[in-house]
Amino acid sequence: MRFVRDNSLSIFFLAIFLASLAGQAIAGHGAFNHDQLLHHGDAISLGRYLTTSEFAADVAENWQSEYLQFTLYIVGTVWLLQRGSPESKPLDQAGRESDEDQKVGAHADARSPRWARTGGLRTALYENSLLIVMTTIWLGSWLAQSIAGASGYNADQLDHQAATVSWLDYLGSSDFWSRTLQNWQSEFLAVGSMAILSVYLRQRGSPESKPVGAPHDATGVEG
Amino acid sequence: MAFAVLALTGCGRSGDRASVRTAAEGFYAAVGDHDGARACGWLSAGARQALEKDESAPCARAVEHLQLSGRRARHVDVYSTEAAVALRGGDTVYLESTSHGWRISAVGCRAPAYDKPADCELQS
Repeated sequence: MRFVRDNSLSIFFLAIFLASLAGQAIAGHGAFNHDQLLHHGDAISLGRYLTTSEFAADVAENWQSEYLQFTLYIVGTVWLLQRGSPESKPLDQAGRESDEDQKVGAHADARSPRWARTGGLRTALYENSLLIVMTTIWLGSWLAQSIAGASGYNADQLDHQAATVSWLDYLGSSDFWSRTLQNWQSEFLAVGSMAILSVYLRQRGSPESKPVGAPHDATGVEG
Repeated sequence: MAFAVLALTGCGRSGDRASVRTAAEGFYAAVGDHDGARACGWLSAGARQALEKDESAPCARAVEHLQLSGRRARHVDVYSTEAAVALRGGDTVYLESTSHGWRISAVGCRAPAYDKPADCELQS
């Protein structure tokens, strides 16, 4: 039980991620078959739908925008500031900060991760590991979106007896950029909203909020 | 994830490509052999209905009136539940995945363009 309590945040989000992915599969399957019937085609099974490029593109385009959001958020909050926001560092701490502040190398203590202590390439990798992993997942899922999206786009072209396009041509298409940018705009709006709303609004008990009684211009404090 | 997408979806599985080629070549061979019943077996339900309506005749007889060109496949494309077969020196054939396997939805198609559908002898 202690494991569940101590990891309840990630367990909760894993559970609702799996539930919503399953729901997306079921709803998407229904929508796909509806379109099939409208085009005088046959309905397909759920299992078949899960291997279609349409499903893969729908999943990947959302994943890539989420991981781009975190990539930009992680790197942006190193240097960019928002007065009064708990999402921002204090106004005098923009930048990568000192080794002492970051407990790196000689300033690491007994409980610091090993690669924070070792120095050299391992420390360089470790001190950027969050950005590296988020960026890798973003680029990987964006690549997956482009591959699956090109396949789905070409399926639609063939359904209308039109010519198909190469993957490279698809990267320049309005379909690819419409799907990409419709996701990006919502992610950037969400992060921007959080940064500014948290200046003036509060949620008691959440580390995403300042303490209820904290002044509006208090920056980089958590509740 | 990109590799998983490629493996599962992106490029058209080899079994589908073979089935699509068989359907297209089988249809054109049947028409060439004047076997209307066998040819109609390769058409989708929508294509059969469209043909019978256009020609005001049963499919097996109506299919003989189609102006077709080509016989062997030159290039096969499969994307999701749609496919196209370009025949050597001739037409492009469009197919869709049905509960009975790959079936032809449009035949005798020429000059497909990116933003303009091909002109077809028959389409569903």
